[in-house]
Amino acid sequence: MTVDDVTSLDAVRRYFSEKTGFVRAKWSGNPASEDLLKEFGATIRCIPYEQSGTAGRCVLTGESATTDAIFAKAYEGAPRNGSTNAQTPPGSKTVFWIYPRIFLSVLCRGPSTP
Amino acid sequence: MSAAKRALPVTRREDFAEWYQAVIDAADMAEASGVRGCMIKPWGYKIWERIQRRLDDDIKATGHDNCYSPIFIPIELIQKEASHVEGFAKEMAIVTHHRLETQDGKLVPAAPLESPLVVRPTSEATITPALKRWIHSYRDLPVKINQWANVVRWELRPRLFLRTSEFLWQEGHTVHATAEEAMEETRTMLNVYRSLVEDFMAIPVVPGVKSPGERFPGAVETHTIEAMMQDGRALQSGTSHYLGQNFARAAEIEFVDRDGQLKIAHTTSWGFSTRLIGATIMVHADDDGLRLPPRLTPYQVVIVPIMRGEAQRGDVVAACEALARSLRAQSYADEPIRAFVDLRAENSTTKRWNWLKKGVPLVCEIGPRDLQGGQVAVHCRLDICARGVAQNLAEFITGIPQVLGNFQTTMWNRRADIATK
Repeated sequence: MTVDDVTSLDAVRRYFSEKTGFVRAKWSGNPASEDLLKEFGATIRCIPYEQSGTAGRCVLTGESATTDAIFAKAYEGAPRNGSTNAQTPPGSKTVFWIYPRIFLSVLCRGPSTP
Repeated sequence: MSAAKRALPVTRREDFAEWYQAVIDAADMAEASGVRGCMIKPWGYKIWERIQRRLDDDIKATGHDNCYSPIFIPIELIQKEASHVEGFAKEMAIVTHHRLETQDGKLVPAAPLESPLVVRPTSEATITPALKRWIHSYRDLPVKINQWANVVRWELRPRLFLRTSEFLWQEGHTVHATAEEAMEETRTMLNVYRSLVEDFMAIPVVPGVKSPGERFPGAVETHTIEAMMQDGRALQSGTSHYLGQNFARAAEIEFVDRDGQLKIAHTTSWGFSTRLIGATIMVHADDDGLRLPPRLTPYQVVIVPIMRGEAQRGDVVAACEALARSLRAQSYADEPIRAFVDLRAENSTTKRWNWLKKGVPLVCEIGPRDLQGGQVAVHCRLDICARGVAQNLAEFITGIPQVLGNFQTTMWNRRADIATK
């Protein structure tokens, strides 16, 4: 699993404006600092069992910190993107896309064609 | 054929949310039911049964017994745990009547309940008082129970499998004499979830402890496994809570310890739900539909007979069934191979696409020509191509455990190094 390491609040900001994924960063454990991540639409996913054991500065508060935390944008509650109840009528658009494919795949059929 | 043509009407890149729904439609897994909750269709339920069976075995192997608690929670019971209730209050369904009457030709609720009942959003409120009744001394501990149940959380923006107003899950509840023992239980069950999700479902996770802001209401520690979806967003995929003495104190779960002292017990709870079917889609599916890892999938091999006219029908069907029997005699991951022969009166190409979109790892076709050549045409779901690969039948049968093993490993490797976008 790809986890990107970042070492400053700027880097966190840059990361979540360019891409999404798991970010590993130092965190002081200060509960009030969790809100700072809201700006990026991210949350602290967990303090991973696997810790690097290194010392550094908390990317949220600048305090000295030894704990690694994992940040990410997450599915919390109902997903916000897209329509939530969009029901494609079965076989409408799907048929349009699949039929050419079936047609072509029949033409190119492998050795089991009778 | 053009590489751009895909079986789904929308790609992941175009609209991830629409694509997610399209995978479910194409695999025929579930549908919005028109009433609250969702209709889980047979293919979706088969996947749940696979998860359920493996998890149930693990839960029992770690010393837990299944039981069942009532769906209705008296409102005064749920009021007992204030912080807990706060977390769920906005999404509760409440039963207020117990009869229907006809008035002016319309059915209306009658006979109001003296005290309304909450439909369980989780079962701490009913299970904890039961635990209090069962526990008196250290000899009664630990109590380790689990239940498979449906729960209701009134969702304003439901989404199939991910957030539905009613969903299926298991919830484990345990009581221990000491904090150390309860902590060990919390970690043990998180590891059970981790193994299920990683080894069985081929979804890599980051295990860890939740920060205070993300903790389960009322817990001392929440342990979690976090998985990464293909849209770059994380999904909490299983949680195990060390509840300390918070719930036990509220429910007065006390016991006489070895030293004769009356002590408050330590409790845990842990849950895993149908939401993970949503995770399977968002982690493994592609623009042609669902893809299922061999250990999870209800069918590992689907066999489609190719028939032109009735003349050779009997022979082809017999060959397909013989292949299924030979495959079932082999095993992979300590289970007989799950092979299915599709004899529906549907054309073979449609059948093949049905199963590929449902995520079955291998789809085999056998026609009259294959009978003569002792061959089978194999379509692999990892990377769909138009042609099946012709394989010697006997070699295909003996090689199947290895092929499925490689398939599982490949799915794991592809997700383990999933590129963040």
